[in-house]
Amino acid sequence: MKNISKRAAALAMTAAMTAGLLTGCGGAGSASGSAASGGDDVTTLTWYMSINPVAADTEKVIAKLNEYTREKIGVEIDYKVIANPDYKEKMPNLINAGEYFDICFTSNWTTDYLQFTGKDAFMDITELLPQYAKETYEFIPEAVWDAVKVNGSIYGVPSYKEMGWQGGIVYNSDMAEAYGIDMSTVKTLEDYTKVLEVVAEKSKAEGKNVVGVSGLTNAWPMAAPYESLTGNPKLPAAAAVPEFGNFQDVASQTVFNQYASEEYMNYCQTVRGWNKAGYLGGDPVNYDSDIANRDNDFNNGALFSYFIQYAPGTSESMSASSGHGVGFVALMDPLFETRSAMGGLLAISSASEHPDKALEFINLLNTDEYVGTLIRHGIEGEHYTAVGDNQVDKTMGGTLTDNGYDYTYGWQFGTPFNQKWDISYPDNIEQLFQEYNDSAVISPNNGFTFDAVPVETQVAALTNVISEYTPSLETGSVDPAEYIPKFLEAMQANGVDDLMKEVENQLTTFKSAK
Amino acid sequence: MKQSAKYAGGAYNKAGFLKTFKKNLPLTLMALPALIVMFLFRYLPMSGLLLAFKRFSVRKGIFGSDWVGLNNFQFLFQTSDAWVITRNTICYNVLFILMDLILAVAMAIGLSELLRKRRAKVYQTIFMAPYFLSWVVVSFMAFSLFSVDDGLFNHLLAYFGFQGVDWYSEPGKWPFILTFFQIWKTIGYSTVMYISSLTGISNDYYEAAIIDGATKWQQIKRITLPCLKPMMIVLTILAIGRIFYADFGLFFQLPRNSGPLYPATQVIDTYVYRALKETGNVGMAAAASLYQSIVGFVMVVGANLVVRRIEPDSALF
Repeated sequence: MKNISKRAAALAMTAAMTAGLLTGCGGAGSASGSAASGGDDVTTLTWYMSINPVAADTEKVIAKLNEYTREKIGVEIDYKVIANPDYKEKMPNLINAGEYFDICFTSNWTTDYLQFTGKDAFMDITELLPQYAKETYEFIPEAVWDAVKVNGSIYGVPSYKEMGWQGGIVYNSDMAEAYGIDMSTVKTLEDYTKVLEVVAEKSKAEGKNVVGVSGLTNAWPMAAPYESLTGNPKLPAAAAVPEFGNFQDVASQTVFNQYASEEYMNYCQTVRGWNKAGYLGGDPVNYDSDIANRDNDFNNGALFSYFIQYAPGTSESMSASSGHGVGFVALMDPLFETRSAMGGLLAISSASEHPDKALEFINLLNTDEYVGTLIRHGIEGEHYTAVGDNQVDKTMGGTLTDNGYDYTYGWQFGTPFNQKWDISYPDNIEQLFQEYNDSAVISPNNGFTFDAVPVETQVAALTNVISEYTPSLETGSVDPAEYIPKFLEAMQANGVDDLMKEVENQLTTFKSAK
Repeated sequence: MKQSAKYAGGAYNKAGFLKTFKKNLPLTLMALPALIVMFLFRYLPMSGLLLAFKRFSVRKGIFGSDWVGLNNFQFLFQTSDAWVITRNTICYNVLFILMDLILAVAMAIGLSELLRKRRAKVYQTIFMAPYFLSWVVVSFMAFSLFSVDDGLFNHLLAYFGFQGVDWYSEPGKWPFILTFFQIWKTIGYSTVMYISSLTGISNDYYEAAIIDGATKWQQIKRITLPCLKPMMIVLTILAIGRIFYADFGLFFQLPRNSGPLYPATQVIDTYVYRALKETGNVGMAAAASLYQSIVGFVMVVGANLVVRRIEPDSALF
């Protein structure tokens, strides 16, 4: 008796497992049919979103959102939110596998916009935009729309926030004051050497071992800003931006290799000096890669400063979280280039059955203050309390640290200019953004997107060469006089000329079509 | 072996086949779930190999995408690193196969000599433990040894008055480090395989040998090793089949993706990963894995052929 039941159990187990495997395989197919379901005349849109971290009360907020959108535009959202690191791995696979979705988050750092546009994954919305998302279309400046165009067509709605990127250094201003450092004298990378010297000297005198600066793996394009023509600042092929007045000797060329420039040599020499003087800690490459550790050191005063791409309000919110004053020195004016608009976009699947409704919804995300505030700060009274007409308090007037739902600035959802801001931001935050955007330099070839397909072989080989040489060169771990020539030679052997030639050809075509 | 020879030699007719089928029905049914899984996950996806010759478009799908001939394979051979990648992949694997074979057999014999004692089990468990660690975890363990600022080795060197070593930018040291960690991690697993086949050797042989006055060394040489030989050959042929696959975790995580170490740590898997993580070209990825599979297939068939020449009884097929 016992024997039989055991056997039956084993059989059932096997059957169940086989069935599980079979349905697991068919799952992708059946999901595609469910899009059109939902109540009377209510369209359900599947929205894949990448945001970090996934908030605990997400479901509550989406239920509230659905209440509103059902009334307003007859749409319900099937919200599939995935944390950033997982999204990067999962979403490309879901798209490649033909999973059904209406809206998905895309960018140049996760689920690459250009790559999937090239694979026909996203819908051309150039015609639909003015029809179904008119306010958004008019609200976002033309330079931004130009930047997201691929062969003259728009495949995603960009998040309109700060225009372009501005490189600089955030520093512990309490420490700067204590050591008597005047940061306003810092205009270039070379100027910073003196600051680092003082920090090292004074902190040693106090018996502390303070790392002067970190984040060097991002610092090179800030030291000598250039327009990246491939959309990837690491790949060779740059154009000079006249407003910055750098790269004088090569500026006349339409395309040049930034790694072969004098500026690159100078940058590497400078940081080599820093490294040798011990301003960067013993192992800057590994130190850079451990962000949690870096933040911790910065908060504790074991790290004086680091390089970042800055947005207005950052130093204010950083000083709130770090427990000491935080200042910022810019090394450049903001630069707006094609890739700047690709920090975050919402794209519509080429297989979507409801592109019109999807656009109407994206329009709400960008223009409706109720939706904008709800998706960033959650539900009033439950996740925040209103402060005046334009601000919210996520601590709810107290000391609450985790309220279950908050994405503060939340630019990934669309423009942040249609929301109420958290009180940790300055009152005039939107004005600060306005000033920032007004000062932005628009790159000379804005709107040019490089199609890497003809030179994919070279890009693959060069990517390897670059990741072999740049981390150690750009942190001063090796001697540039010896390694830059080696680096250039390796690039030569792996088709850098083919790549630059192709960029130049495409650029010429782009310019003549304009 | 004998049985299969009988079946192969026997004349098949339809009635005979049906009879055999009926007789083996329970066995066939038992194999069925595994066969279905195998079909679903091993054979069905093979149609995806077409991608190696295509430019993939999501809308057109695998079968509808445009053909591009051998373009997708170019990036593997057109790089100036092609030689380094191939050399590293094959040399490391040959080294790992040899070390693993020699050390695992030695350890298995050593442990089995202790086998009646509890201690042998304890050792076995200890050796096995690293096998279950992920390479990410191992990479942090290694980092705690090799870190420039806080690493144990540099602290030791400093203690004895030597200059610290910048471990993560000196490729010359990494062949040893990689080999050490690879062996440390996998040796327990292979040892268990050999121990299991050691327990299968009848005690009669040893008793007879002892009566004849054979020393321990003679027993190992004349009885244990010959009895282990089939197992050694099978495991080695299987390992040779994967000679063109490198353990990604070992070569990527352990050196912490450090650029200066590439000459010693770049293997085909890491090269493909680094090359394609930016462009994400599915066709090129498929091309790389097809190339690896073909080399692996040729190597397995070749190795088996060699074994069959020398020792027909031990060949896999």
